[in-house]
Amino acid sequence: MVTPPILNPNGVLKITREGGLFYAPGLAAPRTMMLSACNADQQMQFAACMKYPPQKKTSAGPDQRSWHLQWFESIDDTTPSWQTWVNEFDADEAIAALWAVATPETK
Amino acid sequence: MCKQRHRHSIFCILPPHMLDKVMRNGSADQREWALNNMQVNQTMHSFRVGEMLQAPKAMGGGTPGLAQRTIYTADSGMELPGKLVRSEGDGPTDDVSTNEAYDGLGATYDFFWQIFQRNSIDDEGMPLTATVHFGKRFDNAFWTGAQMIFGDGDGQLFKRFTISLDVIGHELTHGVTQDEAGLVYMNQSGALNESLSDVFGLLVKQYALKQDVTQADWLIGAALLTDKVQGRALRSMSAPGTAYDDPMLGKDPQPGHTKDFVRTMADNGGVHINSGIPNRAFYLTASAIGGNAWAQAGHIWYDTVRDKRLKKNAGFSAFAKLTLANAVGAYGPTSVEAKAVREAWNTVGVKL
Repeated sequence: MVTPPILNPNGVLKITREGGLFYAPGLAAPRTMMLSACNADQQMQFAACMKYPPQKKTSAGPDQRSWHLQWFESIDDTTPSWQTWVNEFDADEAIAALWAVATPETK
Repeated sequence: MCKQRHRHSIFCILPPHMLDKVMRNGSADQREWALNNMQVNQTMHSFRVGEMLQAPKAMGGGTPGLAQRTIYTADSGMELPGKLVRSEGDGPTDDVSTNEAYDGLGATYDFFWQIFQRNSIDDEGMPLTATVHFGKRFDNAFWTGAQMIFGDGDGQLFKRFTISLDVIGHELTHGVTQDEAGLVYMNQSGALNESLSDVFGLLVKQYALKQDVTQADWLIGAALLTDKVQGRALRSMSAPGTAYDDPMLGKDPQPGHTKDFVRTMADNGGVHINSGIPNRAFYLTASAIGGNAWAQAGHIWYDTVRDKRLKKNAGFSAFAKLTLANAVGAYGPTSVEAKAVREAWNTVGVKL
């Protein structure tokens, strides 16, 4: 149940920053990153992001933020094979680091 | 329960409500111990404002009218509460964030005490605790239910989160709202929860600066944005939707009228988005009355958040009706205040 997904090079990690003191559309938009596009440091960050057990979204307190992490086996998949929510409070710095360089989704 | 007479260690597990009591009433050392234990038990991580404040109320702490502040630093880590850097009565330190947090907690306490005779968040003298320098480039500030947490900001978009007094007031007001009304943090009741924090957060700032309604900027987080951001603040109460329009942040999505209400799953159902509607209603009410916003408009809103008829899942209309009832009750049905409330809600499209 807590087994992390097997990372294949074509897989895509989607990171969404939810909640916080304010809602800014540009920062709230999901961001994606393909594993094959990562350099060595980013691959380490990738692995750190995937260490969390799958968990349903829980209601954080006012203005508290959480990261929504989703793993898709390929860029064409619409359903994640793995996902979890991590309270910013508990989050590894790797999540924010990877989010900062990931590509924002355009609607 | 542990009945041994010894200094408690992490091996002696106490239930959270007892830790709460120690945190409310204990000495600085005892509060630090309680916070550490909460962290060890990992209760802090899932702590909710409601859990904290729905516990049996502690006996009054300290002297009414005098804040009990304790500031810690996490030194860019995430351990709570961190290292003690300033206690109540201590002089300023060399650290700007520490002093801003100390002063901001004090200004918020003083505002609620002087204007509403409210003794801290729980009205029973709850000590005010904050941790500054939390995390690395941490872009947030929040109230855990037990304490405030301030990040230093990323330096690119946001400065340190202690810099805005209204943000400190905003966060502590979440505790007040939970203690009084328990508004559910989702959809319209969540937007009301957010709006109340903006309202009282700005009133804290206006009171500290002795500004009347025409002098005030009505901006939330005006000092927070770096000069690289194309914007004035996080939110505008007078003109929702105009606070920023920036390549990184996007455009301020707040509506100022119900016809533009945003239906969304994001942001807990748009709590930071649709709060623009009741925010503007408060601004219009205060502006129509004139003078200091905390005097009449502030009292009407405060009476409403304390009104037992206000349900946890109240929507805009239910809240608006109670503000009018409280305005009529305090000032009369034909008063300037009642007229101002009625017209403000009508202007933003909320039915009374």
